[in-house]
Amino acid sequence: MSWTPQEEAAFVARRRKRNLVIGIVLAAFAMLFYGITVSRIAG
Amino acid sequence: MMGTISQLEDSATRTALSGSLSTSEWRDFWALLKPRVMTLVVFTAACGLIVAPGTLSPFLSFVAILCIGVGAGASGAFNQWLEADTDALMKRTASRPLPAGRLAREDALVFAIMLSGASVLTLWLATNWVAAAILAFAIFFYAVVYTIWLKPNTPQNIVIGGAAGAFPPVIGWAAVTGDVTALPLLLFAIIFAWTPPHFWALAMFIRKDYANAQMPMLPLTHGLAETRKQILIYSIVLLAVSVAPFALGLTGALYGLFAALLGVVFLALAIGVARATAEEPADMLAEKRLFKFSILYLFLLFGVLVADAAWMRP
Repeated sequence: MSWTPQEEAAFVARRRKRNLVIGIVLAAFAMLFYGITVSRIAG
Repeated sequence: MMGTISQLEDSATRTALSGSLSTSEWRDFWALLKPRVMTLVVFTAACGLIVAPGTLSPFLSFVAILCIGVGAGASGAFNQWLEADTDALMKRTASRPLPAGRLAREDALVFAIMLSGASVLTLWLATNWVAAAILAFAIFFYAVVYTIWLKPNTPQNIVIGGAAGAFPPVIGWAAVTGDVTALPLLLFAIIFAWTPPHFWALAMFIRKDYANAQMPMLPLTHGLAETRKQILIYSIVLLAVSVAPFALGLTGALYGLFAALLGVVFLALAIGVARATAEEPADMLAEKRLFKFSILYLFLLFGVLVADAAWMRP
């Protein structure tokens, strides 16, 4: 099976957007755990 | 001829591939979480957390609510993973990511497992094991007891399964106090009694969808007249349970007054349903009115509960 150039471009765009969202979620998760640690120690 | 077959095969392969992780969009993963259901879960959990005696820092409160919301989303993802085939048969659910082929099933399962584990463990770390254990049980109850066992097998599915949606205020309360007392149990009972009239009103006017999916919903198994009677009975139970927190001295008069008022309106609409005789979904105005009001009812009741707690506190 081969993709047309338009399909391949759409695939790459979707993958890039999804990877960006995964990156943001992971960064938020790391900040969340940092916040939990600080709050628990302070409490 | 060969060219046409080749094109069809190519198209079929592309369609199959379109469900793979490499082409699915983040919006499809978001849709797996059933965001609209999460709204109610987050709201009731926040109310349980706010009215609980004791203090939890604003940040940890935010984390607790986030975890409860994500846990509810994980339940929704498990539910959609398990019901992809039946969802494809219903107009209301056919456009979901799995039946529409925009997401691969294994990706949905991995997503659900990851979110379940992350939400339960994070809630434990941020608050306490009691809240985390109830959240884990709620996810299990919704995914296994309700979706696998009850939903396809008994018309009592949403009665017992309603417990899954009743856990959030209890978890919110437990996140603050580390225990479960009478008021959170009554909040549980309110949502438990609210679920049957809410869902049966909906099931009545979309029963053809449920018939296509062969789901044994009460309007299909016992008829419309019996469903209308059951809606009325549960609405009476709901009125009694909703005023119980005030009657037992667990809330102030503000809550008691509004709970009685809202319960009477709910009951009046349920009487309207009980007296209705419409057979066709387009004519089921009483059922549609009750369904719409039932959503508003829960938001208002829990909103007043929070207002009452704020008013009562020194």
